[in-house]
Amino acid sequence: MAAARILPVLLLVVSMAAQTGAPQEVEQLEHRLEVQRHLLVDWAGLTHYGSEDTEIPAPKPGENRVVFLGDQITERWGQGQAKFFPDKPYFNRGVTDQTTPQMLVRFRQDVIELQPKVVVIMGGSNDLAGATGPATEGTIAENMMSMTELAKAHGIRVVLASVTPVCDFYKKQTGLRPQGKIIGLNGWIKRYAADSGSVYLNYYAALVEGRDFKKNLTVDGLLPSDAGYEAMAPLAEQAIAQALGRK
Amino acid sequence: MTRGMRTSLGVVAIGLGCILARGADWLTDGGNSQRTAWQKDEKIFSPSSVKDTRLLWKIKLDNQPRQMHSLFPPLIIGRLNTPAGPKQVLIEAGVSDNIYAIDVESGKLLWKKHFISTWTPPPNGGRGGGVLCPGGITATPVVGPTSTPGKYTVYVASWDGMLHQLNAADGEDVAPPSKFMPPNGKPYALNLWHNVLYTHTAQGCGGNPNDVYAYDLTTNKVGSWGPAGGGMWGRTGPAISDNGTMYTGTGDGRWDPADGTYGDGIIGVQQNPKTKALELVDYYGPTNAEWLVKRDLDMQVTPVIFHYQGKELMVDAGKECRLYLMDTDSIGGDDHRTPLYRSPLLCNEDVNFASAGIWGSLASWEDSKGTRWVLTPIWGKPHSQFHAPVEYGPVKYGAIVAFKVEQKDGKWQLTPAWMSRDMNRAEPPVIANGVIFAYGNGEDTEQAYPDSGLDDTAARRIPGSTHAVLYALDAETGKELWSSGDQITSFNHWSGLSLANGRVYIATFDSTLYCFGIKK
Repeated sequence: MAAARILPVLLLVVSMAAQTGAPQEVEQLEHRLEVQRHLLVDWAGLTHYGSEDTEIPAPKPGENRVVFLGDQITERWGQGQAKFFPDKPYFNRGVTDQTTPQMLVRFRQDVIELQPKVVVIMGGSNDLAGATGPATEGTIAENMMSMTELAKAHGIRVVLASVTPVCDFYKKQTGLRPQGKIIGLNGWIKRYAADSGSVYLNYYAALVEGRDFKKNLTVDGLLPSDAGYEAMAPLAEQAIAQALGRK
Repeated sequence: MTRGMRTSLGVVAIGLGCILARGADWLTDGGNSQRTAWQKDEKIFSPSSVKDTRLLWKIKLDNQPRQMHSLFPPLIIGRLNTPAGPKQVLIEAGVSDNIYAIDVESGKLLWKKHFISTWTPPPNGGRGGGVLCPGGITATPVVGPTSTPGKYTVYVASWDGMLHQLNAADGEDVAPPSKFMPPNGKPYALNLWHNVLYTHTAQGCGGNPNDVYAYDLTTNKVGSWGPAGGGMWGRTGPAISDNGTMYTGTGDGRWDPADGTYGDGIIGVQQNPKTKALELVDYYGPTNAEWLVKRDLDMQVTPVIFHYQGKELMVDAGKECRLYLMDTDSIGGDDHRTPLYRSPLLCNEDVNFASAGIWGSLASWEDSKGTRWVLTPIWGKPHSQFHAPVEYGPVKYGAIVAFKVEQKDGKWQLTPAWMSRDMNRAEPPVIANGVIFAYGNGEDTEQAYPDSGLDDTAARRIPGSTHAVLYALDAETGKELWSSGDQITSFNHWSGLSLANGRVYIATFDSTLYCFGIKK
């Protein structure tokens, strides 16, 4: 486990920095140490929405409940000016920095238990960045397939979203998430969606120019801006409607 | 003896008599039946005088610790008629079925009573032993006045489930021991209300159900009632409202009132005046009770009850690290799930079931301007989203957090006021004349380990514990005014503070009782 490997090293570094480093450096290292420690005790992020999930009543008859499962790109949706589907029974279950194996572990708690009609799964970007250890298209695919099968077993229709593009206009992003790998992974997601009877939600095509995230649609080359989310929303609605229309 | 000396001694005696005559009491855990932990009669401690606090005496008692338990919070009788004349006397319970009486002035032992347990543990009966079921006395006794001024009775529940009634002056029985509850049931601090003793039990120790018990001292009848869910382990026992309803939080268990189970909630139980049976009269279940039971986040804190703006209010809490403000007229509203106010998370961001959250009990007081305050201890770091307007540096291991009870736009709320300095496992505070005493217990509170899982043993936790530190804080600002530093050399577990007449008491695992105070 990445956290288990990193933690002792960080502890050593923090201890050395405490003796020799600047206070700011110590503070930063302590923050990193805290993040890793938290990852160790709650690797899947089950505490993020766990309590809130239990307070959500069962869907009303005829309610088209949707859960958006994802990472920071999902979690930040609605935190800025671009609202997260106001007046719709849609639940945001994004957790910043998460990878697909983490989403898989919390799939029962954060998706199945909420009894949605549709789940929109958007993951893989942080896997490509190695956020929880080395990952490949193969490992991401296995997690996506497992989530899809779990959803189907519970009568939940699946929308598989593409990974969004990255660019280096603001800071270097393409090193951690090579643009070619994103294109490759999206190709697999599109094919698997077709094979599994899921709906493919192509955010990528709407946000990209060449291979770059359109500058005006992102705040840092990775995260969508308000305009980016506004471009994504109708696509999501369209995919959800398509999923709901399927038998 | 010269006439002058006689006169001086007479003046001293009269002075002592006056002090004793108006001496404050602390006759029950938490100071009163409402468990406010507020010593209203304090005259000696004050924000300006508390800096002069020092160790007045300490006494090592012969009590043998059991598991992590040792001594319980002392009880103080301000003026007790003893064979040697009126004295301020401290009653101390030790887990190994021991009761001690100590002369507060000298710190010397007056008498000791040891109960011979009539119960022996069955070889395979129920949940036996371990940190959670230490055996012995587990409930702080309670002291009650008698119809004779200066005469008091000490009520004790011993290991074998018997109720003992002792003359506080000499430790002799004033009534034969009588059956209170099943043996080894792990009761919590007794509460005496209108001649009825209340307690509750937890952890299923000895294979017993987790029940509320009431012993009617007039009829010697015992009533009981069980929530059929988790045990009730608010450390300071139940809190009792004006109409005699006994409130307590419940531990791990399903919240399903339709099925008669009330785990991870709060219950109000009342004695039927005719039958003396206990009956459920009100209950509250947090809307996320399912999460609480899933993550072992018991509602295991003794509530605090107080009056404010014409209402009788109650605050309770749990391991999840939230506070709930309730109206005792209906603690959860019509749906039993809507308190007056539910705070955001104050701590326990990691959802740790053992070493974080709110444990023990709460406290409340009202200042001279009529502001009503509520105090809670927290274990571990504060939640990243929780901040108080006044803080005293980073908190890593625990703190006291103070709130003001307020109404905003017609809605009740608990408004954060200050958060104290860091304390190593902050314990429930006591309040006296503008001063708050609180302490970090120094205990190793972990219950789960990477190498041994849930093998939670005293043998592991005792060496991992350090020592308690007592702090005095300004009640309005939380500023540290005094601390005991390294004077206390052992930790404590499941104990607490008591305070009366310029003295504050803390007992430790090594069976030492410390008296800190201001010597006039």
